[in-house]
Amino acid sequence: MLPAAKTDFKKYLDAARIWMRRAMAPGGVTGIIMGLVFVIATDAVLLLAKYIEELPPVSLTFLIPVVLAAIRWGTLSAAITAIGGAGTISLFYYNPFYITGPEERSRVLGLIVFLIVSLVLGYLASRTRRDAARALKRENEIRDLYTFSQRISAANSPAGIFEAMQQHLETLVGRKVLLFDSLGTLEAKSERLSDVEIPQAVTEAVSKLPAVGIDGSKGIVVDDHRGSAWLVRPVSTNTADFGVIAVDLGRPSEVFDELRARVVALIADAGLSLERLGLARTISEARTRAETEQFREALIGSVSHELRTPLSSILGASTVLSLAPEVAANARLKKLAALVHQESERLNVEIQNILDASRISSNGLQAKLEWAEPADFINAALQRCRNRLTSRIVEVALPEELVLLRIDSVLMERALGQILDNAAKYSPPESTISVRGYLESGQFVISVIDQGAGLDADDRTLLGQKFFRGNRHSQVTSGLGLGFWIASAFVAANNGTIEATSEGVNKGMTVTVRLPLPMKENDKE
Amino acid sequence: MTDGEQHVLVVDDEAQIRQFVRAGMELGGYRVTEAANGSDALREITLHPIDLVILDLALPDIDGSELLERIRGWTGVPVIILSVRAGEAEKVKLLELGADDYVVKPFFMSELLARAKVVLRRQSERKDGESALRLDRLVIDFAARTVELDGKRLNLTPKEYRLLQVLAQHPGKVITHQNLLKSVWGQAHVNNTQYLRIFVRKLRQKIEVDPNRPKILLTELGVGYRLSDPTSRDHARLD
Repeated sequence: MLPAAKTDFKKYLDAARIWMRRAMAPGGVTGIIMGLVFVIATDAVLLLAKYIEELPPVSLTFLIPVVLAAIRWGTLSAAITAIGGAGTISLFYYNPFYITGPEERSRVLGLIVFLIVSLVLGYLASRTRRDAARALKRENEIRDLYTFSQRISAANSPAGIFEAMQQHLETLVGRKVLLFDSLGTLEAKSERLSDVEIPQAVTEAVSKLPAVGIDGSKGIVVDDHRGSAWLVRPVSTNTADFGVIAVDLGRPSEVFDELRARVVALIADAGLSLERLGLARTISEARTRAETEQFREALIGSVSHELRTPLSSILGASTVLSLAPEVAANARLKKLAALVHQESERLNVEIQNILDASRISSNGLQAKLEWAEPADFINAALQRCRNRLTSRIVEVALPEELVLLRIDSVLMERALGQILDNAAKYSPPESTISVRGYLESGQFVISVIDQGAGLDADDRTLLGQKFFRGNRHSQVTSGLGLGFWIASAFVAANNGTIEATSEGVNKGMTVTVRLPLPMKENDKE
Repeated sequence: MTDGEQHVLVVDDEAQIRQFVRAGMELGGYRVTEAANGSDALREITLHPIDLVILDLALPDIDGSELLERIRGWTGVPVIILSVRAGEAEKVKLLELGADDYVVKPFFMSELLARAKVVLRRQSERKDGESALRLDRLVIDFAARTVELDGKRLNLTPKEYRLLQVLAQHPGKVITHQNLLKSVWGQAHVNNTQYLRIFVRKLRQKIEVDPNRPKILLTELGVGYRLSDPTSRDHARLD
């Protein structure tokens, strides 16, 4: 019998604890105490008033604390205040023990009326309070839902939608939430999750859930062996599209079942509203878009592969030819090998440009911003272009001190490479190309100054358009006219600006790239 | 050249690529074996003493990076990766998987030869276990933990020395940002690239003639840093 008694005892203890918790909440013991405090305070005020002036209508005055208690702590508190008020009124102001005359009788009647009125008023006031609170909560929920739906319509991939869903659920549930892709797949969908450690037990539960069946309405609870219990449940019991949610319920405690029930109800609610938003369709559309994107990527990838593989052989073989002693010994053959080499290199550059252009057009450009020294990418660009810069005098001036930028060095190197390439292409041999890097009004500025063909009025308006090449040059120099356009896109991806200025035809050109300097405090070691 | 012919295994599914790489490597004085797929490559490496593997990533049977992992499972034979995929993240991944170097297609034969030379030299040095490294004007004495420039001893902070030491353990090899940060500052700082930038700059100010045009401590954009290899000029890239 002992174990049973023990469980009984534990049950009572739990019940007592739950009661205590409720009592401590607004509307609980605090309300009762505050009701009594109100009564005493009102009495004190009234007694004080009695000495100064004639007594105000006592029972009417007591309605004030009753309404206050009702608004703040609810019906119970209001009732306590009302009864306490009636009690003290009868004690201090009327003598309840000597009901002698009709005057006394009417006073007692008045007291009873006060009690009824204040109880009714207290009830009404507290109900108004509840309604107001409920309306406020609903308003918040609707606002959350609105923000959420805005985010969903802005999201262009299932991952984005899942991230929005996760944040929405997190706000709703008010606890740490992990959201997994459709039942069975373990990929946590939100990008924010990449740095959150997902407990082993949770991933196991998520993968187990389909076996439990779609009716995981109550969800399953697992222990992550780190002191937290997690609730795992499909977001919606009607569709697997919304994935599986895992909620950190915290340390298992006596009120655990209550909390769990509340969270389950919240998730069920959220699931319903997701269904109402037609989210399933949005997700599938986003999936289609992502697939299209993948297909496009694959296409570009295969074109690049198909063009580059033979090009690799041509370029590689031509360089082997140049190395061969037989060819090196014969000036004519050597020249021919160099020609093959040069032209295949040019072809390679153009293929790269087409690939870059297609990436830019499809918004496939993603800058990976990192701390970097501009000198590094400037040197790399000069190094890459050095074959085309031969016979030009290249002057480089960079700041003495360390400059750190938040940029994608690889993209910046390609952008500067395009600018240098253009400078070399449109300026005569033996002319000077000067590359300057300096700090100016919170920006790092790189200017490339050549002494070449410059720009005429038409060029100025058209430069920067895709496939633009000045009329003066199309017969003389090669290229697709993608260079400046690609450079502009790459610079923009680094939050920078690019500008080309020229004094006029044959007066050279200056291309200026401005990159923002990061905040000062980040420069510390 | 080196004593005896060194044996290079060229793994590529494209016969044309294998053909010119073979021609180029043979011109460079190496003995060449070809493999058209991953399983042939694995068999060659197991059966023959191979000094260097030139490995294309796109293979018909096994993914190149998986093959690299398998090779690294039992041998430290130098591996140079050939790839048309030129993404920096990809390069970082391959280096972390144990590739010694990578060359992006299309490439110049002279470049591949230079890389091969550096990697092979490093391999033979590793066996010798030299205690000092001479790079042009710079001498790093690992045993005494000192660095000399033009015969004059440099005053390096412990972090600067450690940075140089990590790079100098594999001269010519690209060491990724993450690797450097982990080795010098510890696991917790693998994402603090600005530490690395600042210390590289400080180090360059001490060891380079012009820290804006470094010749010793070289940047590999988006991937990491490397020390210029003493035996080879740094050849042109075409990636």
